[in-house]
Amino acid sequence: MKTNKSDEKRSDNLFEEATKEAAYIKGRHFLQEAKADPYIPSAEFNHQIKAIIEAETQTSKTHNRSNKLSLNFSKATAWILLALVILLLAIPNVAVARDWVTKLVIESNPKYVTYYLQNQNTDNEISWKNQGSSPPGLLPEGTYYPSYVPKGMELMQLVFNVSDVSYYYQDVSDNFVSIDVMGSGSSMNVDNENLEEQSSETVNGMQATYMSKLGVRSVVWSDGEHVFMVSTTLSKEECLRIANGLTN
Amino acid sequence: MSSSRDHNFSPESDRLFLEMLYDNYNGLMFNQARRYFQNQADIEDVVQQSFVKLIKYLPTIRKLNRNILAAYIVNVIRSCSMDIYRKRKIEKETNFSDFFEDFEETVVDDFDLDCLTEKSLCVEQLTNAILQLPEQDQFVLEAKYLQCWSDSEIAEVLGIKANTVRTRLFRAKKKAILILSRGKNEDQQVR
Repeated sequence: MKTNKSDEKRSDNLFEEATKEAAYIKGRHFLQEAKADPYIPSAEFNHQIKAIIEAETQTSKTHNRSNKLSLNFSKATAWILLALVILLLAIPNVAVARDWVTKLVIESNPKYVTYYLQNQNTDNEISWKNQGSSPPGLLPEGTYYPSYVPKGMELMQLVFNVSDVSYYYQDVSDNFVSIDVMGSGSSMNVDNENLEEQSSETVNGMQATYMSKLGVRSVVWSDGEHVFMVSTTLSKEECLRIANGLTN
Repeated sequence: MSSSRDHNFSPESDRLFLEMLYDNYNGLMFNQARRYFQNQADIEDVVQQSFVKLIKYLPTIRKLNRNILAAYIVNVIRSCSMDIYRKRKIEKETNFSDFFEDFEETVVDDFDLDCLTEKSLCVEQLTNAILQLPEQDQFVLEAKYLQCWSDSEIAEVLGIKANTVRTRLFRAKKKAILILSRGKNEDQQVR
């Protein structure tokens, strides 16, 4: 006759219960027997057993400690892995990661904002500057910007800090143009030691100081509210043309 | 099977339990060990080995009540004694008499155990039947259901194959059922 699994399990449970019940009866009998025929082990033997107990529980202590340590380590590793996976999923490449970090800095410090613009093809002039207005959403209205930048110059860096703005352009020959506009309360350091050339010029109807040192030409002037400085490795003429093109 | 390593009691709690275990049950352990050995050194060997083995089963034995724990300890003493006998290659005594294993495995069992136990068997009757079984059959049943040893562990203790353990377990159950049915028939005849 075939039996199904539930019969088998029932049979197994029945035998388990009966075996335990039998063991209970036998155990009582064994204990009575032992009580009737007492035996006192030697002190030496007792000592051996105590030593075994001590050694075993000592091992457990060390084992438990190392277990806890490895458990904590595993948990930490798991969290780190999880964080890495989430980060990798959220930020697929280095450029995005950099933008993400920049955004975090911007959000955490609203008074200081740094924009990094790379590989922008500017041609002769930066397109948004030709339109006579600052790029929407990038710089606030009234911010000074250069309306003229020599051909081949690319905007490498733009830093805006509430009242200050600076632009840094560079071409393939490593010539650069640096434009700084400082608002009230800001200061600008100009190195005028051992100048190769220094002269007084007019920029946008204002008196300006032109200076040249170690191949870098600079022009500095002020309208009373701002201090302007244009520095470049290009010629004096270009330096003054860029300075005259600065508008808001 | 659980071991002393994978439970949640503190080492101090383990130490206290093991001391209590030894203090309360050393008499029983020596009493049982003397059933198998006469030499004092052998007796102490068996008790010591059994105690080490009991430590291994600490999570299990913590849950047992006094009487069942006593039966558990007796089985451990027995298994250690068998082990020592085997290692010394001493011929087994009547207590450990075995059949030829190969012969045992070739015998066909056409007895439908589960079908029989399906009938209204009460635990009390089956318990009495188990108590009437030969010691080695009781040992296999207890190893399986009380010690919760795996077939391979029982096989190691008995020095037999795992398949033979299953055969012996089946035979032990079959014998218990037969004792039970014989008892019922006798009851009916008396009536």
